[in-house]
Amino acid sequence: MRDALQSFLSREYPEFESVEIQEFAPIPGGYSRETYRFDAIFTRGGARESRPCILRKDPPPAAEILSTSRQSEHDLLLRVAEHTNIPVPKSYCVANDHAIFGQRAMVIERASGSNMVSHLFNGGPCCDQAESIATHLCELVAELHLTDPKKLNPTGSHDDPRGVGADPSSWDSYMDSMIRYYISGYPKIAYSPMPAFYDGYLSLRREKPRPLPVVLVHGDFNPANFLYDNGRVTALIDWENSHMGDPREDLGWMSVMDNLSTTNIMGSVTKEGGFIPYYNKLTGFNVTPEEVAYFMKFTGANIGVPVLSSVKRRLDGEHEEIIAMYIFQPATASTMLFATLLGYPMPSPEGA
Amino acid sequence: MYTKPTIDHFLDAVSVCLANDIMPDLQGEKAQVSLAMAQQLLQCAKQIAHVEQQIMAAEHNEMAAMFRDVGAIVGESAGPEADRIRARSQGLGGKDDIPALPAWEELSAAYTELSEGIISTLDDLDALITAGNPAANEALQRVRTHLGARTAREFGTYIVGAGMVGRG
Repeated sequence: MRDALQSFLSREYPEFESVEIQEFAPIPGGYSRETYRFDAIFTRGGARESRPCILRKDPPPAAEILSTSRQSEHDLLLRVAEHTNIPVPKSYCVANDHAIFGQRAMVIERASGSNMVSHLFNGGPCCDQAESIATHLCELVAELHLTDPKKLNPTGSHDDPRGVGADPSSWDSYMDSMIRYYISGYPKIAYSPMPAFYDGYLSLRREKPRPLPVVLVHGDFNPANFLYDNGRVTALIDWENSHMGDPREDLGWMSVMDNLSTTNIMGSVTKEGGFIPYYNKLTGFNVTPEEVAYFMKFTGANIGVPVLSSVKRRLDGEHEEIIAMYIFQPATASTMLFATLLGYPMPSPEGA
Repeated sequence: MYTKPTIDHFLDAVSVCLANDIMPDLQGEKAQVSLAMAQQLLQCAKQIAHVEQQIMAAEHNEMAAMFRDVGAIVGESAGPEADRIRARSQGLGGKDDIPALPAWEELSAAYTELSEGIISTLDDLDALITAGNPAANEALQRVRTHLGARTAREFGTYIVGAGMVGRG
């Protein structure tokens, strides 16, 4: 891998006399991509330039959770950097040829900042930064949702980046196409009968909220996908599930993942009375708690369908990655979240 | 409950992870031997998992019958040992048989059939609710009452700890 990386960067950057790879090591915790950290040392005319980098590599197709294009992710990172003030890692180059790393891959900047979000909550060592960071996150996601989607998605590459039949030509067609994908995808996720999820998917069709403008959403806006330092977000990362959609998706998914990760981004903003009121002031979208709850189910399905499909493929013996067995745990925890959002009567603790 | 993953799936996943992800990075000979031992224990657990309760129930009933037979064979023999054997024949041999537990595959198939019936019922109720049938909402609530209890049991049975390992 290291030799392949060195050769690849040498070809991508012919203006340099040499490229050296140092401190190459896998990064644990990436649920959808294999990630490696390294320093690339570029030499030209006796001068050495060190760039902290990350290699993001697709897993084998059978083990893949989100099937999206690294080229599209690269292009989007460049456009977000150009058209917004949202801090994102620089994307350096893409290997679309599987022969180079075995699967498609991209090299991006290893942005500065901590990813230890657990330190911000539950009495952690950085909990004094939680409010300012959550407030900054709110501002960043609002800015993303207010950015002209034509600037961020000029070629339509993010209309249906997962190839699931999404149709963002209007809000209704987008919602209908995605709900159709969730319901029709049920057989692909049902490694065991899952009536709570199916009930949730059907309820999405019956209970659609009012429309909002279709915008580019991050798509995996969650407590694990930002870096921070000194009370500020230093990078919003992992844009692989970005797509044209409803802006409330990012609010719903952050709420879901706050719940599953025992973090409290959504509850840490005090400005204007909280995360959603502050977001509403910034965007004018007037999002209600009921709408956030709806999009918790919607995004639970959006990410849940590919995640659960991956678990099913693992159980069907299509691959042997431990991650697909492990994520059975958060997937099961999300069943309880669905049950709560659907208002299921729950037994008293002693009867459970 | 989930019909999948079964205990087999969990144990196999750990075993494969040990072999593919852990073993190649183990340097020490003692650690390598310990890992091989651990894999054998996992295999042992896998062999027990789906038969333990069925075998125990069957052997409970076999033992009770055996105590009755031993008492009958000893018959009217004299002495405290024979007295104790006759007492066991009556006490332990008189225990009620435990109902035979169905084999895992049989139980799983029966459970799956009813659970899939819930999926079909949800489809039908969705159509009725959309058509404005008020009884369908009440019927859906009855389904959800079952699913609430079931989801709570699943949560209590399957979830270990909180959060997502490796995610900061």
